Amino acid sequence: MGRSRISRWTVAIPLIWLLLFLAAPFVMVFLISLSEVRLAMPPYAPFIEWVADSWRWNLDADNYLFIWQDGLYFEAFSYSLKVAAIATLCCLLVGYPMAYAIAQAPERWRSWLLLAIILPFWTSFLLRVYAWIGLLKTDGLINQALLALGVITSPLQLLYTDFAVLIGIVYSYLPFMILPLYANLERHDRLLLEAAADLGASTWTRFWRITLPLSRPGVVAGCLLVFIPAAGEFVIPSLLGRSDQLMIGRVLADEFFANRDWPVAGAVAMILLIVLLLPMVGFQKSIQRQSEDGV
Amino acid sequence: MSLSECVKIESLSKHFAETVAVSDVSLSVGRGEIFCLLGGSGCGKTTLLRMLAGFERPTAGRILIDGMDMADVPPNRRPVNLMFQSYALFPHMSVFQNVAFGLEQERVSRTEIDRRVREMLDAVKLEGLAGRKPQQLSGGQRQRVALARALVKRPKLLLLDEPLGALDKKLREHTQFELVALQRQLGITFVVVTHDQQEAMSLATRIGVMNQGRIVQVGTPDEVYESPATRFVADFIGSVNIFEGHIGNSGEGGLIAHCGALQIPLPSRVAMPDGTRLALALRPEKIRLQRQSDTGAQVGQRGTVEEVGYLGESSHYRVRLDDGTPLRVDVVNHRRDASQRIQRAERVTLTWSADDLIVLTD
Repeated sequence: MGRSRISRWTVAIPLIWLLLFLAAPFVMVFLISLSEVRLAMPPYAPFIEWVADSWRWNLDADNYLFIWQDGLYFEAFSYSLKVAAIATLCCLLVGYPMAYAIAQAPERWRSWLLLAIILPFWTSFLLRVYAWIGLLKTDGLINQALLALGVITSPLQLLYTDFAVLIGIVYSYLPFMILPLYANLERHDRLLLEAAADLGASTWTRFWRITLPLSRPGVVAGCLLVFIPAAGEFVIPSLLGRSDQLMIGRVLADEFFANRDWPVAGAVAMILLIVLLLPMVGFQKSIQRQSEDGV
Repeated sequence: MSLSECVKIESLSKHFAETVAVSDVSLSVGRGEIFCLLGGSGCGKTTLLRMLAGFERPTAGRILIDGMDMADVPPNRRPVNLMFQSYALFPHMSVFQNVAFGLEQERVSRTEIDRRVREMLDAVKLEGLAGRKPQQLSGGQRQRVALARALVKRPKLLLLDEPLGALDKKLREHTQFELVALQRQLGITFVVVTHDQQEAMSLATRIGVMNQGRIVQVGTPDEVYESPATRFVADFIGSVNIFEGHIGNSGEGGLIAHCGALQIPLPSRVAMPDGTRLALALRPEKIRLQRQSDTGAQVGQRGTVEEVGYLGESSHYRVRLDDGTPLRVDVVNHRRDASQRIQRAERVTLTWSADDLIVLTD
């Protein structure tokens, strides 16, 4: 009796939390995205109004239609997804060998190496992105070094390019790739590699047929942890990116703060959420498959 | 080197930092043998096995397999396969894929792989389970997948690390016979590592008993059990009663050992000078136990039953001789009637044949 009441409450607490701070705001944003902008406080039309002796809903899909018809949003979306995808791939290519190396390192080293991965978090995110301006700008460290070495004769335009955004995102989100990969690789049974070697597999085959497939959940988790925030990233493209190429995070912020068009901002947010939810669903499916295999 | 020799190990040693895991082991295993390395944990048997598989480099000595020196041959190029104690099955592959993995590393055609894997799965009675993942199998089935995976490449030598260790008792006895039958059928040489003397006795053509990194005795199961070379072997394999003493005044019929107050006649073949220190080992089942009232003549040692352990097919008796020496005696219960059996606190006479004494001088 008492036990079941307690266990009901332990389920209820996170449920209430999710209802209050996730579901309720979500419904609010969704409703705002269906309403229309007003010069008022808050700056959107009431959802339901008393008009000519009857209640009338003030909700429609006009904002979504507007976003669909205006090429700017579509371009910002596709550009964001492209940048996020490339950044995720770069993080994977850089992060996998690092995670692998840490997992292979002697046990007493591992915690120090992990600490080195997490260390940058002790400085403000904003500060670290600003630091890249100092490195990338025309008279920044990188250009100066290249000039001094005689590799180039005139400074390169590094800052305010797609390249700078990519560097910024890869640099900032790399730990989110490395940590889940490490957590996965560290658990691998070394005997499986010995068994593969015993059966005649070369070093490369052992990696390709054993380590890589078994690390798939780590790869997927790392990729999602990088891709999802990178796609909605606002700070890095604003500080390091081109001013003529908008990422969807920038668009969202501009709609919200500069235009004070909450309904359109809400619609952009909803679309972004749905687009980013799709890979999550795929991930859940793959995790389910894996757990059925017992991996 | 003779043609029928599969493995030859020459003064092999392995040191890990300070500790000596394997020390100066020389051994040869004939083709088609099931050779068991038997010893307690930490005796170096697993290290020896891993050196044969190529996972550890010997500190000194060499290994020849089919006459070829294995010193610079990595594990993936040795004509040897290992069945791991934990089986080490690939969890992301089906039974079929696990077994096919080794063949895929050779340049064997798909149809050939398919044929050989099916054949092997038939041999270990897993035909219907080819599509399952290892997690969906029972312990016994996993063990057979591991066996099939190691055998499908037809290695010259198969190494088995505690092959039956993870199975329960009933399954183990059954699998033991299957393993021996399969080995005969395929003619592959087996080297088995085990700490379980029963497993070793029932599988092996020969046993190498290991202690502290050394091979202390090599022999058939019968030799190792009935004629252990050292006290360690006598004690490690089966149970044993040990009497310590020295050769006393020779009696009429042969030598007598004085062990405390006991005077024990020695087998007639023993010839040693007076005063030689020795230990006598006597297996508990070699002792005959009788009620004192049943024996008229004054032969044998007298004592009292202190403890009876009834196991069904046999009973273990703990008897204290009148001079205080404790002895273990095993008696087969060939009668159902409990009143026929000797009970606790009964006075008994113990007799044995002098030839059943094992004389140890180490």
